Amino acid sequence: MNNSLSPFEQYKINIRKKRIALLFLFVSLIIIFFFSLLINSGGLSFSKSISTLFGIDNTSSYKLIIFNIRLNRTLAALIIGFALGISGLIMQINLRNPLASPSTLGVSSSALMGATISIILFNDKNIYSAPIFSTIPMALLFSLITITFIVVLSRTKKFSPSAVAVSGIAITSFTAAITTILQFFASDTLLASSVHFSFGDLSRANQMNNIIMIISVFVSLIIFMLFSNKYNAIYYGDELAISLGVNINVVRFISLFFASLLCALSVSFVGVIGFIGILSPHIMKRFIGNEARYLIPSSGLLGSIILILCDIISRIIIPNFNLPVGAVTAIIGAPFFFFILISKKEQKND
Amino acid sequence: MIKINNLSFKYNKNSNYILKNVNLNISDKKISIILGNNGAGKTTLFKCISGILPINEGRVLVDGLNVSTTPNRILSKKLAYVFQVNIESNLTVYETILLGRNPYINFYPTKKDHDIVSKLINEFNLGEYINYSFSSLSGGYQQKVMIARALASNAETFLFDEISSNLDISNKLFIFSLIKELKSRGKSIFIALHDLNDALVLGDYFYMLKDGIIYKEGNKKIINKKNINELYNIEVEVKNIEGVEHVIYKKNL
Repeated sequence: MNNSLSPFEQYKINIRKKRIALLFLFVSLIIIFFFSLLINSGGLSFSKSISTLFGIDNTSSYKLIIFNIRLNRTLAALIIGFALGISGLIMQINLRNPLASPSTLGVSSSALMGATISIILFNDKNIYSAPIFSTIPMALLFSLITITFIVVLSRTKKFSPSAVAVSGIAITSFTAAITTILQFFASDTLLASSVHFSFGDLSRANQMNNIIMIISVFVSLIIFMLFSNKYNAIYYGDELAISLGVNINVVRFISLFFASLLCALSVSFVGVIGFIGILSPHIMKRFIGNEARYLIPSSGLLGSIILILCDIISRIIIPNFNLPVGAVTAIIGAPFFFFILISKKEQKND
Repeated sequence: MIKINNLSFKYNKNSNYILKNVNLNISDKKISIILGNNGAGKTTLFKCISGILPINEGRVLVDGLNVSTTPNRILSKKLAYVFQVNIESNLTVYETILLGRNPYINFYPTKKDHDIVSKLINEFNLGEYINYSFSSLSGGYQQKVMIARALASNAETFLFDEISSNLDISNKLFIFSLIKELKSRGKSIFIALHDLNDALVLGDYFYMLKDGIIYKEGNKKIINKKNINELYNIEVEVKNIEGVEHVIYKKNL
């Protein structure tokens, strides 16, 4: 470290690194986004895709593939990856628990249980058919019940981070059991649609869902960014945060509400996609540190990149088949996560 | 300035009182020190003063503001609380000290915030650690960073809970001289300490807390053989060596 620089200049160097990381993620995302529009398991070739994308080839069926199917799908991957990345991070910060994420806390599986109840008991064929009992409000309701339950437990019983993670396992088992029982008594058609619903599958993406998702992510992101100073204080514990003027209960409630909302919407639209909520924030914490103002957007951007990449893999790994992307994120994410844990290096200075 | 009237506290309905009818008056330009065993209620008292614990019985005023009715953010501009943290944090030293400006920052820190932080970093000799993560520092340096963070808030009243225990001698003396300087700038300072000799070096006014009750208060004279024996149940000798009072522990180990 160059000591001839003033403290503020040294701090600026650090901030510049974070900004460069953000810019790098943003540029990578744009490149991968366009790449994703051009790649598919079958049908349209790469060169035809390029000429269609740039308006050289105006064949209407090609345009339909690129601008409807692939664009919707890639946009869904982008926005849902972003949503899961920030949702996981916000849960980790607010529960002060590095193990928190929509999937590890059981929030995803609760949302899935809500959606299953909606499909099987209320016969919700598409997600807008039965207003109150359709999949979105039901998924949201159950994910909020779960996150409230976790917050209450971790506050009143002073749960340790590992105890919270274990509660997440218990909640996941419980909700999975309810889902199984419902499926067991369901008719064949409803069973099929509920099982299909549980796959994390981006082929279900459509324009309407993407718009809802974009609006929700945008609103949540603004709220989270406005709270970023408060999150920085929360890293040092509730007591220090309170003494620094943070109204911790309000911040925590609003944050977890929106984090759960993003998770519930994602599950309603494309099913359960695990690992991004835990993987993306952990990688970014490694690279740019914990400062929330930069960590929040970068976790989101990396989440988008991971999900689009996994989606590309899911489309090309078996020719003419689209694997559910949830399977790909878990298969790639789990070993990668182990790698991060093993390679963890923290040295005591002084 | 802190004024406490008839403060009693218990953690829940069925438990015993941790603080019993405490009355205190921490005045400006003085270093007040609270002494007492582990579990006597010192930390609980500090948490009540700083608004971390809810006050149900009695009243705490900080600079005339009632702690239980004042929003955190306003209170945090008046009062800074330093206590030992044992927390993994990847915030850097600079970012951590900047947290002290939190009550004033809406989204982005201003030039004034950065100027205050830079000045403290130079004063505290933390220049080479600016971009180190907090967790990577030793306990003593973490303590120093936390004290710098508290000073960044420009509060009028300071609570220090066991700040010297992690510090080596030179850093301890640095912090002590800093606290004396705060006093000369007219701040009110309230410190919980274990080391009686440190207390004698620093303090102007003393409180002895035993089982939640303020059992003695007064100037240096109350740190005597009889009171210490009653407070800690130990045998000591208090000797004046070259004009400075020293507590000498008499137990043979």
